[in-house]
Amino acid sequence: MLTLLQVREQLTASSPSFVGAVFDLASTLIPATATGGKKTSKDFNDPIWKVIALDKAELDICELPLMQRLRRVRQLGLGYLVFPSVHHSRFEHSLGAVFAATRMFDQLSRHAKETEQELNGIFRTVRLAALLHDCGHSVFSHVGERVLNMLYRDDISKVGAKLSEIFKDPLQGTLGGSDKPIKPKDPAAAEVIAALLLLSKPMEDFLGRCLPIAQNVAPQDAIINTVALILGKPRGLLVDRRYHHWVRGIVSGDLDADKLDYVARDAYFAGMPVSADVMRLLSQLASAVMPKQALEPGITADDVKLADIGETRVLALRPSGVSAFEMFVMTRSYLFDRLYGHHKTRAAERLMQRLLAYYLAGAIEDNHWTQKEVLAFLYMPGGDDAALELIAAPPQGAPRNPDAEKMAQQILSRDLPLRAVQISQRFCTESAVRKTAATQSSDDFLITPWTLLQQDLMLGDDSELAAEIARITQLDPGLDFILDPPAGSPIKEDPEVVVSTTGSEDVPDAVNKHFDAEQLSNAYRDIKRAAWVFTSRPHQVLVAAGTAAALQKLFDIRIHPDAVQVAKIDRSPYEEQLRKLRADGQLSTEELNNLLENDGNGRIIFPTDKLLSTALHWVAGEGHYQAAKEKLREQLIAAKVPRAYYHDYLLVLAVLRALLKHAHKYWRAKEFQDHQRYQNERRFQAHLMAFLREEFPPDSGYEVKEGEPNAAGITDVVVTQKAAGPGVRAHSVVVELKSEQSPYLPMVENHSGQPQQYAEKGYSPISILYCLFKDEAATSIADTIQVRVPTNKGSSLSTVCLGIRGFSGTASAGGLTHSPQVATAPSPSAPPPPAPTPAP
Amino acid sequence: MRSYAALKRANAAAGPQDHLTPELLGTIVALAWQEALVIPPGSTAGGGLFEAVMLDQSSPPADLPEKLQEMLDYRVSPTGIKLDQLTDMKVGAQAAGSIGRLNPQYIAPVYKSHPVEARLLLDQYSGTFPDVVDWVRHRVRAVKQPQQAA
Repeated sequence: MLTLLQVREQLTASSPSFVGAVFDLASTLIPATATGGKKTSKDFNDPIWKVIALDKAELDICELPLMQRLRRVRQLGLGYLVFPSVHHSRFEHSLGAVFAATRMFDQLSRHAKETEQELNGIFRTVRLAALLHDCGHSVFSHVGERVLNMLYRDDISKVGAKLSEIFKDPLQGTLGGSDKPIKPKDPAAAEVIAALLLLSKPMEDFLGRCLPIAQNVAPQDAIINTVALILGKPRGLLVDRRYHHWVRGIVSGDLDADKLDYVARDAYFAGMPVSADVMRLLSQLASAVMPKQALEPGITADDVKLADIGETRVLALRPSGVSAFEMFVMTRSYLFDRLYGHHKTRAAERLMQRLLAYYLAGAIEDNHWTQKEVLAFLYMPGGDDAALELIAAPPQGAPRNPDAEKMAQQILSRDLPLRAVQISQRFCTESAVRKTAATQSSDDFLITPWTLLQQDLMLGDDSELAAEIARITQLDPGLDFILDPPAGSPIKEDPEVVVSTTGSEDVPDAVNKHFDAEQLSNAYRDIKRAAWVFTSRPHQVLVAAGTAAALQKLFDIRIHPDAVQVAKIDRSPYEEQLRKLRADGQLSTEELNNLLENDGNGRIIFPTDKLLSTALHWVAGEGHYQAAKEKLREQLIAAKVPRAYYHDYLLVLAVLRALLKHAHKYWRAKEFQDHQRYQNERRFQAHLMAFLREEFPPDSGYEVKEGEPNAAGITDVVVTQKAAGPGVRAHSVVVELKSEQSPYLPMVENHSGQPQQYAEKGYSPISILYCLFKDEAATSIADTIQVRVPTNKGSSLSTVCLGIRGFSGTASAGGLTHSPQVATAPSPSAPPPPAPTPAP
Repeated sequence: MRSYAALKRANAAAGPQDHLTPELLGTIVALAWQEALVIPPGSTAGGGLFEAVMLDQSSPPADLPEKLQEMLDYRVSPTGIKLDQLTDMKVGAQAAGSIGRLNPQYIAPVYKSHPVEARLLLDQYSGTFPDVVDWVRHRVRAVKQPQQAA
């Protein structure tokens, strides 16, 4: 067991500057002159729990600046800008957590075999951990925490890892079949700071002065046990061969004292007539005995060994408490929707995050603030309002930052960013998808654009979408507009709570068997999940139109006009702005018509970068790759492929990717120098078939056929996606092969119409022409890629053409020399070789 | 402005394109199942779609790629090994449109993507997260074979 001094030394070594700054902060927040008051106990009035009693040691801790500053850190940050009464602080929440933890402990220990005295040490630790669990929160709570992460992520990560190493989880498991331990969960930034403040010398000295007066506990043990519990890695839970696992659940779990308090408190102060039945919930808690082996994989820490355990008790609910738990989960999800995730709250928090980060980055860069000064700012005694005032109207000598001052004034005057557009599935997918009975079943809808957008949205202002909006609108992402990603689900689908009948010998059930958390999560996701783009009033219409244009360009998504109307923007100025973007050259006519839903003959496919980059993966050289991508996009748009053929288009891209890989691998390969052999198309076809069968193996759901007869003739190669269920059309792409000792372009001129004849007979309307050509000019693969359309108007057929060069004088050094039978396309299951283009 | 931009750049560890999230991992797992099973959209998915890949006989798989070890939090709990991000994975796959979940929960989820989409999207993701996509594809195949044999 390390001493506190050793713990401090190890933590300091992990990140000397950052840990030193937090320890310096501790000397301010826990002054050497603090000795505790004379009162031996105190009862606090509280609107939720009515009366909360603290003992002498807890009261002394509460008197420290460490805790007093929490009176001025609001529990819900900027929520009061939307719900005027949510001014409650982290201080009262901390007191509430002590009460809830005490009630939980009393209830859960009712059937314990130990005496009160034997459990007293654990009880004291639980109360201290509940009281101090939020002491690491900076101004503006979670917004401040996000800024801390932006500024000092590496430091926080290193210290967090060291804390995990020192405070080992007694339930740490191993990776299956090995001795390698599972990487412990890193604590959040506020937990790291809380742990450092509590482990500091000032805290040790303070407890040395105060704690022995009231309790017979060594300060060192009190600190280490409290920190361990806050980090969710409690120590000393093994008492007389009984392992009290339930203690852990009081401070960190899906039904812990923190959540019990904040759900009840936040709803109360927001003035919402919802309330979890927390009293019922508390009264229905019980500890349950779990089979010894349930925890077997986890008991690895030094202080707990499986052999030492006679009985394991865990936090459980009685069956009659399940509906109260259900109400608790529903209330929490309601709060997420109405309060924490309210669009105005989100906008205010994003503005505040930007302001804090901007102000502090400026102070570091321009005023050379050290970590100590940054932390002194974030943990100032005056809390939220003092920090905001300081930025808005800095005193003489303080760092000046005009942009930050302007933003602070915005918050002070509640001039918050406005909504410009909502990006959610109901406004994107429906418009992106055109259900067509001929091609799709009723349950089949197009996903790809939306899936790719979802990935990008998670990056907020760093996303490609934000960059494209910025390019189109000439505005600055993060400053002129904010892209706020959708929040995750607030409902954990497998809560770590078990249900047990008192006196039953049965193994307790997971609460999910009694209450359908997944169903609730599912409902929440479908209706509530949305990203928002926020901006200021002068930019509102421009940003709305710019977002619509960017979604169209990047993801081929037509956002429904209602997505703009929910932001209270009238349709008329929005459409006018779209026309202006067309006039400025930011939109093509087709794109404008599409967005205005003026696409008379039906919507067409707008190829997007991401999918084209997948198809063109094997085009070597950045310049060639970019040129090919732009040409293909432009020509495919000109081909006006109807949107009903989207799956055909995707299949063409998959086949094109494979053919480009073939062309890349065998470009000027030695075997294609053989005039006699490969002038024969059949041999070229055999070579390609062997390659494609490697690329599309039989169990992949694709079938590669050759010589399939058709009303228009005999096809060379057909790749079919077989996954057709009832009512779902199979998708087949014709690949027409040509092998001639002639230049490429004349071959395309002569033959590009041929595959289109097949396409009219039931195959995909987009087909492929693949030419083995002779060309002395230094043509690249990229140069050969082009789209040809029939000359007759109104046809939706097109051919993607590409070529592979052969029959030239000398073979490429990189060309493979073995026969196709033995050679050799890498298996699709093998890791792909390095991309020839830099991460397109 | 200069400072804020610099801060954001410094904050983007390996660049935005390298930003794997549990939600995206969930999407990759759902797509890998659909690719491996070769079934059309609207088909019913078996239970434990994500658990089967992310847990190996109730333990985290021994060959879990480094990137996933860093991102995921497995815990020993009284009811078995828990993966903290399991909800995020399911919600991510659903939000991305790869699977649809109907209520109540005993009605199995359905695959929503077309298999050709699954292949193309996985190819797309493998450009950025090759180790992760390969591992998921491998795990799905490994889990699928005994299931099919049974």
